[in-house]
Amino acid sequence: MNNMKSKKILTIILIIGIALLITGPILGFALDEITLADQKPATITETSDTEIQSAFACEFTIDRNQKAIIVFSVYYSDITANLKILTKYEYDVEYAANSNPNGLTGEYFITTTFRLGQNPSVSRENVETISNQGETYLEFTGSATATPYFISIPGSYVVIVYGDHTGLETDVFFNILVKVDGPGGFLSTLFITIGIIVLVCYALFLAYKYLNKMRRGR
Amino acid sequence: MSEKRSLADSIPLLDKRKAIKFIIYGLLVAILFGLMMMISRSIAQNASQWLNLANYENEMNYSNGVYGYAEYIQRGQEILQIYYWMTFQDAIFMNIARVGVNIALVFVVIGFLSLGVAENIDERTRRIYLIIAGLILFVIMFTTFFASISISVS
Repeated sequence: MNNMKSKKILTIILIIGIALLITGPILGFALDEITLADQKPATITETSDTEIQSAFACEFTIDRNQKAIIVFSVYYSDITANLKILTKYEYDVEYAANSNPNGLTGEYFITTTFRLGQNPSVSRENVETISNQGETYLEFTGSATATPYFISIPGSYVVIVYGDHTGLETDVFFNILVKVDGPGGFLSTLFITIGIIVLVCYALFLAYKYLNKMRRGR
Repeated sequence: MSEKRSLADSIPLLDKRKAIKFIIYGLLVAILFGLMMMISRSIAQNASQWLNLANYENEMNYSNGVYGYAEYIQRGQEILQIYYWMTFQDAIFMNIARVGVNIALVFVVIGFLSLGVAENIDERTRRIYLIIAGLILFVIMFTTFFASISISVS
């Protein structure tokens, strides 16, 4: 009876160990990035070009060495959309005053232009403007040097998008995806480490049991 | 009157079966540590090749948009760190292996010495065992006190 119980416990431990090893990488992949906004298309009015309260806004918080990835694109004619990243404090102040977003400096980020058969080119910007058609992949860690290199400044930030639609139409359409680094890497390592420890303990316990049996047999 | 003890009497005497066991296990352990030594050396020697490959893969992934600039830089740093570990692990594992091989060889020496003084083996064979034990001891002494001795097979 006791033997049956210990066998059952051992089997459960083995299953837990294997499950941890399998779920570790899956969890790591799933939580590698957390999506905060994914709008295709997002719609704002062209008053956003003069009033920040009409602009698209998405708040995010980053820690040390954590980054935000923003994929910003426009695929509509006669539309010019601009993207800026402000500190939460600056955004709140300018929002209260309903300032013109064109007059704001914004924080520096790094944009990447992917080129076929060539290394991608990177540049530091504080405003990204797309007219009619285009896509930008940008990364943000708080600020960036002109070289360009990332500067990690933890804190809360707000990405804003404002724009203009030439002609009679007033709506401004654009696509935006905002993601921040998730705890995937850490969780993956943690689960795999615990899984390995559980399996090693299981193997050691089996070896101990086998040796005990041998000794008793002698 | 107590009997006068010779040098051979003070050597740990094992019976023939035990002595052969000592030699076999000693050799096995020495081979295992030697294998560890060779693998460690091979990893260190090929580290720069691996670095080139990993850097190129990193560049390709970045170029293909699998990840962005920040991750490209971070991975580049991680690759460099692994490369430094790959070259440095040689120092750690070589020393562990050296200690392991020497301890294993001491067992082999004891085995051969025991065979060399065994009574039920003919004189010539015993002499050969003693010479082998002496040679192994010589190797142990030299590899322990001199770091620059190496045997290269080409």
